Amino acid sequence: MKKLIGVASCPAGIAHTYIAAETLIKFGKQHGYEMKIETNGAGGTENRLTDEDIREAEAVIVAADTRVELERFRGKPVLFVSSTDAIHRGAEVIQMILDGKAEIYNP
Amino acid sequence: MDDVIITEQLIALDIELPDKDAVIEAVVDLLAADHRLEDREVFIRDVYEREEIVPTGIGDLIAIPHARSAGVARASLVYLRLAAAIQWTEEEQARYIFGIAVPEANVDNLHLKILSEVAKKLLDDTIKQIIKESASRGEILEALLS
Repeated sequence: MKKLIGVASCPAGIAHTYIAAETLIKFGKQHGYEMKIETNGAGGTENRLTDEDIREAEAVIVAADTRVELERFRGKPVLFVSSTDAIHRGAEVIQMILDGKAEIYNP
Repeated sequence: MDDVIITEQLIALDIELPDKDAVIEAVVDLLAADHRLEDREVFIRDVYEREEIVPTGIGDLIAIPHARSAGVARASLVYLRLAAAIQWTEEEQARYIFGIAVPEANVDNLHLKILSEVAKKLLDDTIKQIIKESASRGEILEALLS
C-alpha cells in the first residue's frame, strides 16, 4: 500500500496539532494511502516516525507552525504547509501530493 | 474530582453574544465560576496572544480558543454554543466554541492527552451533529468524553 507520512505541530501544541493530523489522515485514507502523522504537541512527540516509515513513504507533509526536525527527510519529497492549511484545506493538501507538488528536500 | 476536565457546568447552550470579545469573556466566566482559573486577566491575555499567532477557527463554524497559561488552575474544557454565528476572523465565522485552558506548570500528560482526544473528536460527523444540535448538556458531555 502506498504510504504518506507527516509531522503536525502548532504554537500551543494543545489542540490544532491533533486536528491537523486527523484531517490529513482522513483525506489521505480517502485516496487509499496508509497514513502516519507524527504529532509534536505540548505533551511531547507521539507517533514518532521511524527510519522505516520515512524510507517507505512516497512523500512527507510537514504541517507545522513551529520548528520540527527536518534533517531526517533529506532526499524525500516534502510538502510544507501550515497547521491551519492542513485543517482548513486538508483535501487540497493531499491533492497537491497527488499532483507531485512536494519537492525533494535538499537544503 | 480534580481530573475532570469538563462538567455540565462548563457547557452553555444557545447563548446570544455579539462578538468574539464577548465570547472569550463568556468562556472565561464559565471557567471562573467553576474555580478553574488562578488569574482571569492573565488567562485572557494569553488566549488573545494565541489567537494573534494563528486564529483558532477550524472550519465548520467551530473555533477552539485556548492557552497554556499561568492564569489557569486546572486543565479544563468549556463548550459554548451560540444562538447565532459571530465573526471569528475577517474570513471565518464561528458558532460552536470550545475553550481550552491548560496550566503552565505541572501539567501532566494525561490532561493534555484527554484534551487532544476531545479535539480529534470534533472531526467526527456523529459527534459534530450532537454538539451542534443536542438540547441536552448531559448528552453533549457524554459525546465529548465517550
